[in-house]
Amino acid sequence: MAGFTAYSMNGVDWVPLPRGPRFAGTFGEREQIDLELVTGRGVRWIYRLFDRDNADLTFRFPSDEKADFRMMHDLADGKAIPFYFTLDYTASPLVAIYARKEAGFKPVILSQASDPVIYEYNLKLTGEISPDSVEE
Amino acid sequence: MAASKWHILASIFLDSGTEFVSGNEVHLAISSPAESRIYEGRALAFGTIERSITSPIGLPSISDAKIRLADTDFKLRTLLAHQTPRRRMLSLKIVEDGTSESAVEPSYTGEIGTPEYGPGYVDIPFKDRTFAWIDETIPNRITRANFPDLPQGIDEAFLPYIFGRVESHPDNPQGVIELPRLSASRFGLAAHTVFDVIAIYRKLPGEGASTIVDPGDFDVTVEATNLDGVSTDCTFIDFLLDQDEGTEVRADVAGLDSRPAWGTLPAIVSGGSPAGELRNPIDTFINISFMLLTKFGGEANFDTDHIIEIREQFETVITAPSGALPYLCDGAVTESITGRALLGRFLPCFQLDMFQDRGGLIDLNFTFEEDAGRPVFSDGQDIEQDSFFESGAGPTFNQIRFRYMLTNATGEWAGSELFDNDDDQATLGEIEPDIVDLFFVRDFATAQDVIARRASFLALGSYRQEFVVPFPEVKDELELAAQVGLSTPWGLETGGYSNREAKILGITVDLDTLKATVRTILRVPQEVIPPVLIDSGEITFDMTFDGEATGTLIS
Repeated sequence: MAGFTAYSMNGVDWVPLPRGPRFAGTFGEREQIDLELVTGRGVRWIYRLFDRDNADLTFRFPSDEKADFRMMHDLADGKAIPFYFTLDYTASPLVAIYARKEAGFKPVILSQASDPVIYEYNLKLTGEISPDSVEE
Repeated sequence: MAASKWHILASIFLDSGTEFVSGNEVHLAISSPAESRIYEGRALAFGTIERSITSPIGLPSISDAKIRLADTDFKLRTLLAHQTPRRRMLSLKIVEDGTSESAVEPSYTGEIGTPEYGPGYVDIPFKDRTFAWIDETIPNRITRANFPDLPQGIDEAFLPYIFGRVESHPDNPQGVIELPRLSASRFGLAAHTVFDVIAIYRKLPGEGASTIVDPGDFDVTVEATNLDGVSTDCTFIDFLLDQDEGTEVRADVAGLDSRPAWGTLPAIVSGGSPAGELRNPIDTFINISFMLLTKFGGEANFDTDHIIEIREQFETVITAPSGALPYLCDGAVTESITGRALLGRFLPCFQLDMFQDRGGLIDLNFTFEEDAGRPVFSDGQDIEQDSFFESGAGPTFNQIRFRYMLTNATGEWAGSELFDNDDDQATLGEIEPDIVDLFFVRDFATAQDVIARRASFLALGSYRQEFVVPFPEVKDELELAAQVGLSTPWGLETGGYSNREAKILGITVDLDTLKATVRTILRVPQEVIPPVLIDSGEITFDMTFDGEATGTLIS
């Protein structure tokens, strides 16, 4: 899906990334954190603390595309500001997660022998918790 | 079973407005959209809340609590920099996701202390103030401001509070309560109206003993008296003649015969119906609470329905050959004392637990008999793996000297009896003595019954337990002093416990893990079999196992 992977700070205006992620990543994986109490006879009491959608994506890009990924990091201020991320901003319905990225921006040089230099960058997204509700 | 989700919702009542916080953002949909509430998800930790009662009977204990709130956006610092949160209130509710917030009573309400500010967070401590009123002191009301004609040599004295029937032992008619002197002919009897002055005793200077005063020599006067700005009907003994300096006057009195309205109980007016001094211990508790709360200047919320049930139980609590007998409360307060000390003396007299219940109300408990409908906590359903612990009894006493019929004037006890747990004495091989003073008991049947009930929690077999349960599942069944059943193979019984009845002494709720640690004591002590000494010097323990083996231990 090269060219359709995108992010948005407001959920409306999408900024496409120069290319999509490599294979073997995860997108929208569901993390659940529970409290668990097990009785003496093995009965389990499970209390959900929260669940959230995460992503773990690897991008490989040449040096002239690094600034686009860097801009995403700068707009999100690293971990500080959550944003929307999708693998295909043209899809209908749109499938996106609202998440924070990892702190810092650390693309790794894969090969300096090539021209341009090739970077590999691991983007980790941790989903934000949706609000719950109680009745009056 | 689907995973349930629970929210801890905190409301912080600041001068600038109420701040609503939780561990995650929670929307409260109120019928008026403009009033919808959002609990901000900034609570990092809620900590633990502990409530407990004691065995033997004492005063309740409620721990302080503290919540940690994220403040990386400096919102709380900005709010609190120019206002004080101290003595403002904070309440916590535990609400299941999607259910009604208003249907849940606060699990804890406390008064905010001094916050502490760390990097990116604020710790807000809060302290329960449910029992703040019991720290009030019943003051010396007799002062020169209240009684300008005080004789020289007296600057202040205590005007007694008299509950029930306070009467001398028939073999020692000297008067129970010493009356403070207010003038040459006036002595203070009580800081309230009384039903009857049974007798007045007088010991003149140089005399060795008191003699009864002819009722024609004095008047019993009730006057509205200004006590620290409050007009109160007080009772005085006015002698027709001035009394010599150094005259000691004592009284036997049928005391308070009035009580304010209490829940569904109507007020009892002095001189009204039913006539007579109030001797039900709950009536005394109501009067003591009213007295302390009036001094405190605040209110307290009681579980009046439940306390009224206990009042009714007390009317027929003692099983006697002649028929059921009531508990009788007879005693006086004759010195300046805090409410805490007063209740510390009063509650054990009738085996009454006092505590804050899960609804935040002040409640009493009397462990009357088996609760056949008790909730059961079991290994199979509730008790967390590897969390059940049991310890031997402690403290234990197998002989209790109980003293009753206090003569307040001398501090001596006209009644003194022994309660012996013979089986425990034989088993242990020694006496473990205790002395219990029943300040508000003058009736032997009451004293005897109270001590027997007290002793049942002090026996060698009064084992204590501690275990962990999932708080959301059992929160409606967990209550201090409640009787519950325990079913676990680890109980100190052949085959373990099967719905073995125990009384809850303490509950510690960890709000971050939703676990409750419960501490209990067996309601009926485990039978601990004394050894049988035979002539040869062998000691035989007769025990039955799963088979039918008996053993002989050669000493």
